[in-house]
Amino acid sequence: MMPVVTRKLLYLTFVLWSISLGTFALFSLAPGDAAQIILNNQNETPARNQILALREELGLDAPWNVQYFSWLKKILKGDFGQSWQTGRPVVDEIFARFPATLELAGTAFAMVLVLSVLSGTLSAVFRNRFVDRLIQAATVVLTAMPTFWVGLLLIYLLSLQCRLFPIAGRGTLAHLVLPSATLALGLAFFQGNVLRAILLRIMSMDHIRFAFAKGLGKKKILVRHILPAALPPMVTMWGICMGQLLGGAVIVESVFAWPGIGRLTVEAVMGRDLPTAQALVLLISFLFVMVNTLADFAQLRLDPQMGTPQ
Amino acid sequence: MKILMHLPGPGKAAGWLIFLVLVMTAVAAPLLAPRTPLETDLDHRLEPPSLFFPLGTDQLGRCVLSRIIYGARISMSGALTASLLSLALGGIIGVLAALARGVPKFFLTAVIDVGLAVPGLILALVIAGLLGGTMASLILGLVAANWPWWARLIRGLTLSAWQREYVLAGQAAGIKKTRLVTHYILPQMKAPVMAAAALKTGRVILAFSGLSYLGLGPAPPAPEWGRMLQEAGIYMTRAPWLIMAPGMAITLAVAALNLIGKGSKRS
Repeated sequence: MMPVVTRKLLYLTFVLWSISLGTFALFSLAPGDAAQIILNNQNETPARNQILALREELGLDAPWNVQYFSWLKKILKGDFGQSWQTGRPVVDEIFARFPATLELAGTAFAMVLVLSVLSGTLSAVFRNRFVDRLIQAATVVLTAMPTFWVGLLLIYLLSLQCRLFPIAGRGTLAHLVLPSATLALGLAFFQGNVLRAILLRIMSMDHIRFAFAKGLGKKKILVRHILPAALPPMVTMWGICMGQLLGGAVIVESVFAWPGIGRLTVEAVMGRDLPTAQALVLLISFLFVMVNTLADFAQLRLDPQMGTPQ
Repeated sequence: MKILMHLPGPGKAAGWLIFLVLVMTAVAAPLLAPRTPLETDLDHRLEPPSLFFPLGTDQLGRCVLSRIIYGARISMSGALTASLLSLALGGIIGVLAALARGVPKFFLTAVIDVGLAVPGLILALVIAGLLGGTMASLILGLVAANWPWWARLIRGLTLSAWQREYVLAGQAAGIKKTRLVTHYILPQMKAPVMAAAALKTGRVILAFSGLSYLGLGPAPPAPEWGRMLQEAGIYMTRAPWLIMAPGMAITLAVAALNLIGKGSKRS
């Protein structure tokens, strides 16, 4: 029997390889001839022999497995090809945009953490009382609001009416407030609701009831016994949350003209810039898988029961 | 008291009520809408709400109320179709992954894990974008993004049901696997799947309108709620009231499904 960590790492490698195969297949099956799109982007009316020559050069006539392995070899070396829109290497395009998304998603994640722990704990402690009902009602509405609408409302209220924050773009700290709040709001209450359920489950467990029976203070029980027990399942939720933040960034970055990889994905897809879109799908999926694997390992450390093979 | 247990809670009942009203609105759109959603009136552009145009007019002088009412047809049917198709596909793969053995089991599990590894909205964006901006390609993208989630859920439900005593009794009695699945396992999944379906359909509506906002999905002049918001955003300084109605319509639909899902989970 292999140790859990080795097994997980082997499987992770397999999943990452499968993602590369899936991404390759997806973009190979996309309608439209690559050579034709490239030449059209160069503002030419391409002649037939030009297209055939470029097809030859790109190796588009080779069998798919040959194409796949030469593509895989390139991306393992960090060569994702050139953007069909700008002609620059895709890697450069992505790394120019990446810090903006990291900044946005990181800030939003911090907001989600604070808000969800606050709302979830309040909800669980005051279960079925007024505060809980209020948070529950807010959760139903706030998780139902589309992020782009939240963004538009915030822009209208706080930028156009109150002139507190800039409308769009990236730069100062003030630019960061509205996009990250927009991205965080719904997710925070969703996560808070999950935390509430987890806390309620823990509160009904024997060791907590024993702590109460022993006469420990409520605050002490909450901070020492209940919240730490909620950490392992929440770590998994935070991993999933990262994926939702990356997905949400696609829309929020478009609303606020935020120059990150979410908006780059939209631009690449809309402009049929296949190499850029392909690299982004691959990169974002890798990132998401890595974060979730880290969350898994963190959970292994936090909860010794998880490591025992069934 | 026992009868009361079976009645839906106030939240769930309200959810169903709002949802049914929205479905009826979609069905009876031609009867309810004061005008057609595409009729332009260039003399009445970007007008505030009035008696003639209860929700105002957009940049082409089209009646916003009529567009919202007809929009229910697009957003609701699109999201419902995508949601049901991903449930069906994910359900089949999930049951197969739970009951298969050896290489097929490994293969199916890996396919689900790979599907879960790609953030859904990004996969839907890429597929819908590559296939061109139509309703069908957007639905296909949403199905591709959502089936792995269903497959994982239903695989888990199948695995736990497989251990139950009545299923073991069925196995011992020599009942075929297919019959065990259709008559023993699937029926008792109804409650959790219903709750999850309501919540998930709400998420799909958000994704559907979000991707339409980005310019995918049904092409203009179709009155899609997300696309209406995108257009309203452009004219926000001149006609800020235009951003209210489509956003509220989406929120109402998703909140109704949230309430149904939450209520079903509790019971």
